[in-house]
Amino acid sequence: MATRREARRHQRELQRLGEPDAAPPPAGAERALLEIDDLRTWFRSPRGTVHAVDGVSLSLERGKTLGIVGESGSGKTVLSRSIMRLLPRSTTVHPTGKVLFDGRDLLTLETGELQDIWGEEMAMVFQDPMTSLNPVVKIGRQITEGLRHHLHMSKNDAREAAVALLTSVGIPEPIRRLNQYPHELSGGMRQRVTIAIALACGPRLLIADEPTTALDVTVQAQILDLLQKQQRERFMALVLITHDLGVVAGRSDEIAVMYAGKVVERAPAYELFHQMRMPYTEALLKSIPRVTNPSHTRLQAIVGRPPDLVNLPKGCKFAPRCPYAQERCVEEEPPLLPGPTPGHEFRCWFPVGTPEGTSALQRNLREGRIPGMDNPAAQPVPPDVLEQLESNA
Amino acid sequence: MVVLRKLLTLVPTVLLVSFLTYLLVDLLPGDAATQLAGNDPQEETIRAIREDLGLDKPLLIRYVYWLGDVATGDFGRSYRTNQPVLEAIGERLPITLQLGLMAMLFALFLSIPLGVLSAFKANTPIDKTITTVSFGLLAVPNFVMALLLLYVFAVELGWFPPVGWTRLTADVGDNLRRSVLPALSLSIGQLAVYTRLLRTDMIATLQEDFVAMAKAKGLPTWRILFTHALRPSSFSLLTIIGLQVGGLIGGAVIVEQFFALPGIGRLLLESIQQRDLIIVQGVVLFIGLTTVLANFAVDLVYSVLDPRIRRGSTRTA
Amino acid sequence: MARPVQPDVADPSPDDDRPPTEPTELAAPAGVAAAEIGIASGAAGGAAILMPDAPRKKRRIFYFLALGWLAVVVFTAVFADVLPLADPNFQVIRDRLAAPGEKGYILGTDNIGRDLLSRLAFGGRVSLIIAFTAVIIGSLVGGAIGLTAGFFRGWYERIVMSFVDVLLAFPALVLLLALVAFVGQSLRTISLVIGFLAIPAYARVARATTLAVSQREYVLAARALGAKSSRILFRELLPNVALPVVAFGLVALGLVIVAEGGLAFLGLSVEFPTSTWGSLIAAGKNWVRESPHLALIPSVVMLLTVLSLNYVGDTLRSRFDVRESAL
Repeated sequence: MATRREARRHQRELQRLGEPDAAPPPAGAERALLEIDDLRTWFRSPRGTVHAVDGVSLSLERGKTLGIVGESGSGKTVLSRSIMRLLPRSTTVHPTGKVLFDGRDLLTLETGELQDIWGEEMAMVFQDPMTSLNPVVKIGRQITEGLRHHLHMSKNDAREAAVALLTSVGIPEPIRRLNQYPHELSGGMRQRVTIAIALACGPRLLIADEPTTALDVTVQAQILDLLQKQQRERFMALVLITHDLGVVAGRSDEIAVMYAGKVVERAPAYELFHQMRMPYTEALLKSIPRVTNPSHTRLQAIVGRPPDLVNLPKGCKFAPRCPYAQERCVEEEPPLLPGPTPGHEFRCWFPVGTPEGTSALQRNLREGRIPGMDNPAAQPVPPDVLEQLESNA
Repeated sequence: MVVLRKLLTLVPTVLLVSFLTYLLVDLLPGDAATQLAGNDPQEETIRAIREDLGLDKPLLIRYVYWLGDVATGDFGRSYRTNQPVLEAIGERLPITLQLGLMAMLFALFLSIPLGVLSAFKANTPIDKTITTVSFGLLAVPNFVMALLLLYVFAVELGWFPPVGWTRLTADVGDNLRRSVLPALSLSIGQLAVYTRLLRTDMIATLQEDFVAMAKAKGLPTWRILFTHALRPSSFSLLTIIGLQVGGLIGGAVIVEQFFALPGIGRLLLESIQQRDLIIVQGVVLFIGLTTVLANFAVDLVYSVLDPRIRRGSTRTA
Repeated sequence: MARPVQPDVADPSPDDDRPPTEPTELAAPAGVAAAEIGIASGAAGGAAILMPDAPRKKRRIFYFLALGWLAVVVFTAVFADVLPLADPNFQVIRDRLAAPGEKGYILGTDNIGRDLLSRLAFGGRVSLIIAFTAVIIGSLVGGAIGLTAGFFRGWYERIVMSFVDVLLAFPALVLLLALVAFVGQSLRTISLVIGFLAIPAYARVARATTLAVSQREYVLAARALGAKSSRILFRELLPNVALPVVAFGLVALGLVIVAEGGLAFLGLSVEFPTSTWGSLIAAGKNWVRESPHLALIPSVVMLLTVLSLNYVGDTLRSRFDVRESAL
């Protein structure tokens, strides 16, 4: 068993060396740990093809954090599962494109090869700790089984390692926990356990898919802080997926905003908040409730629903809900355009904060063409929002 | 604690089973007295015997008397051979027990891998074949199955002796050869039921987050299927196994008759044909209690399999 | 510190990761495809991934084949007298044990030269009479018990259902044997006894359905509007409980046919000279070496009938969405 795995790893090493572009990259241009190129995950359904992930390109350096933000149904969960190759095995799923992890395309690997990467090199924290732990297996076993399988630890070593892991994720009485079942722990504790499981073998990449959505608000910040702390200590790359811009603010190096299966804006975190170009990003930001607002201030929700991923509009997918939308937006889909600073991209014909955008918004206001009753976009993003988001860091 | 509380719920069930069994014989025309009085019954003798047996008392009193006897292990004696009922059952029991256990083991050994495979490969040709075949097998009565097996393996191929029995203690090899076909004919129906049930539950479990999580740990596929997915999927299977004990005993009557095996089923059938009511009553009571206890045992095993129940909390779907 | 913000981005239900989809499609018999894709569907396809079209068409074909076979069986049983069939008890000794197709006998003859085809047709008649009588008794009595138990609840339900559970736990065939042995083996008593034994299963089905239906909005609405119990029971519940009970009836017909077969096999079904499918198989067993068709043909006929009943019943049941687990 072990020798076969060694052989496979050796072979992998050879392959990596053999690839021409896998040669040591020139200093300063180190290759990213995760590179996603034009990833598409479509599902066939009786109603037609569901474009869950539709041409996403992203990259993530070692030890950095990438925040992926989007509404429900924007395809972010399918994206994370596509990166992990955790989609159900079925003929109706077609991920195409490239997902390069450390130079190897995960989409072309066999299950056996993936099993060597899962848990050991990349790991995942799921949304709901109530369902992501096996209810009939003791916590100790759920932590140690990965260690024993990947690192060939003895039973005792694995137990010790598990205790150390539980301690490091802040679980009191770790030794007693090993013999407990998940239902004996609270939600926050369970999520700490799943983080411990994900961290067990020292992965280089951790994907956290809405890790705090299912938790009490009081515990959310603790879990996010824990993730951030572990990520820094272990120099681990982190993909943090959420529907809440407030969660990634101050915790990510880069943020990608997803809408209808596509990345609609991508920028370093500071840039995104200060020089956003995409009306959708703006709308997301405005929908965050603020403590400094007078009470009973109406939240500026985004009007309408996310588009049906089977029957997508022809032009810009956000156009039906966008206060800036013009004729052109309905007709023609904008490509990813370069933003004001390097590493900033967005998809919009009439970007926020540009003369074109401003005049488009004014025209719509004049003609009463803004979707929704109260025109949220008519007001600029208040400065206190930005301050608050920054203070998160 | 939990066991005790469950034991208490068992009491009314047992009483109900025994009462129904008692009624079965008691309400029928021609009671034990007429039987015992012989071929040429005199009114006087019958009445005397009735009084002697307490048959002139009201139904509930008679039932309580009878229950008292049964509780002390006295099921009565055969009208014909005067053999104690319990002894007659004891003689025949090992054969039926062996058949039932073998049938259950056959069914489980085949259905667990088949059900898991079918769920894992859901909607592939493998799964469709397994599902279709098991659906077809559901419609095969066990006497038809017995007939087919007998025809193919005993008559045409001659691999197994067609009928008859050798005690396990007498000759192990011959015993096994003679029990394979009967046990198989008993197990086919169970096999189909278990496979279909396990497949359904397993497909549901495989969509659970904790299975995706186990996969994300990089565990080998067989480990995910058998350690993480099988146990949470086995609850309905377990319930059905408990319920199938009754079906197994019913099937044993037919199969024992078909293959001429001297088990409990044959005893029941013979005593029915000979109108040996007291044996019929004893056997029916014995079978009823066995099925009730089997279901009780399943209840207990539940709590071992599912730690959430052990703590007394309700199980969520 | 991140503020404890309530996730209220845009969608009123942020945890519901679904694009709008037609509810009717979601409710369609999803079968496995939808289940399989489950992991992704929560996020992507709104669980709209159902069985592809081809197998559904194939299912249809099987469905009509099964219906067709049942029609043939019922037709021959009902019109056995009128059809050009030989007398099922007429013996032509010199033609005994003829193979199928031999000497003009389509399905051959038995050991005393009786025409197997006509014996099957007339035997089917007896099997079907028993099956229908038993199922009608079981569904009427059991249905009424289950319906009232599910509607009135309380001690009535508890007592009735504990009887039902005990009867269900009992091996049906053993009870059947015992009862038949004592009450006799006429067509009427056998139908009655099997019907009696079908009551508990029906009570279970009807009660489970009643419980489910009682929770639906229109029943709750009727209650809230102060409708009389009898009105709710007969106007609201009965029609909705009846359909699943009928669908279960098809499967139950198959069960009864098998049970009667078992009884016949043990020589305890309807008495000589009336034959049923079960007694034909039992009689054929003795000639398995010389003329295997004598046992095999009735077996196949019985099997196809039970299979068709199961298939049609299953298809109907999945439409009425009574979960087996709810029973």
